Amino acid sequence: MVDFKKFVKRRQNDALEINDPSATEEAAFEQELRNALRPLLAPENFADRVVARAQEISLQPIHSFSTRWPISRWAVAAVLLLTIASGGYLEHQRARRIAGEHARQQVLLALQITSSTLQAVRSKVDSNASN
Amino acid sequence: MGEMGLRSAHPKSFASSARPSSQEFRELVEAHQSRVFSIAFRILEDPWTAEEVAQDVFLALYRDLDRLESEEHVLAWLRRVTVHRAIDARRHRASRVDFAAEEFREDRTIVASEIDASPSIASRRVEYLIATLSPTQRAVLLLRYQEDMLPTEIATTLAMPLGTVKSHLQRALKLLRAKAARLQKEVAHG
Repeated sequence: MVDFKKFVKRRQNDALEINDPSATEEAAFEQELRNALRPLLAPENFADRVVARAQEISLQPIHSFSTRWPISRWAVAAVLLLTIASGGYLEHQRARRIAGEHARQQVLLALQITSSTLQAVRSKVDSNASN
Repeated sequence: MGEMGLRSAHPKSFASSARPSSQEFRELVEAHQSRVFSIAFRILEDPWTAEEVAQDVFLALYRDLDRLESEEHVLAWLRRVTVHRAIDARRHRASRVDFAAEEFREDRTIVASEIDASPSIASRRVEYLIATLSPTQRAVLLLRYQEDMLPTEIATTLAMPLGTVKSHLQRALKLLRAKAARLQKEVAHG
């Protein structure tokens, strides 16, 4: 089926070219470009070389995480490093907290001992005074 | 068999977990090698680098084939990736070798004596003139006249606004016509 719009457009273009020599020149120049830019032949045995290289690739894992996603590989390394570093920091904080608690217990124990010693001394002094 | 002959039993989908067989891939390469090499060569003007780029494009296609859904998708992918890789290779070469010389080349003066008098002088002359354009202008021109693509298709392929594509085309054609006229005069005056 003939596309009526295209047909009219073509006729208009033809009429333009008849009346306007520069339009014809332009069309001729564009045709010259098309002729000059026809696809070139690929080098000899090009396909053989590409297929050989592709076969080398197919020996590698198809969806190798590290080769397909090199950026992700770095991201994973960064996350691991961050996890280890934050784990170490948290462990250090925990050890400090335990040591602080232990010291507090020691101080409390010492205070208790001191308090009971003072209590005993005071009892002795009181009993001596009453005698 | 379709244009490429690849997965002709399933023309609508290239998506598959497996890579194509060597024979399927060879058919795909043979169907498009001329187009891919021509784009790369005409942007780079160096057959060795053009072959290198063309090979890399096909290997990238081999890796990405399972993501492409149709023959049209493959063709658009090949054109886009070839143009981008060729322009990148050209820029890389320019910065590596001699940036100043490359800049000079863009504005080089056409010397009539550089054109030989072979029978295909018209084609040679046009090729020579195209080599004086910037890589982007050249890429747009190649897609328009080698690949016979419409400006809208070029805009989609190169992810470029349509206005920019049209402007590149108009400027390239204007430049080429001016240079061709100048060259014609120089040849006429010997």
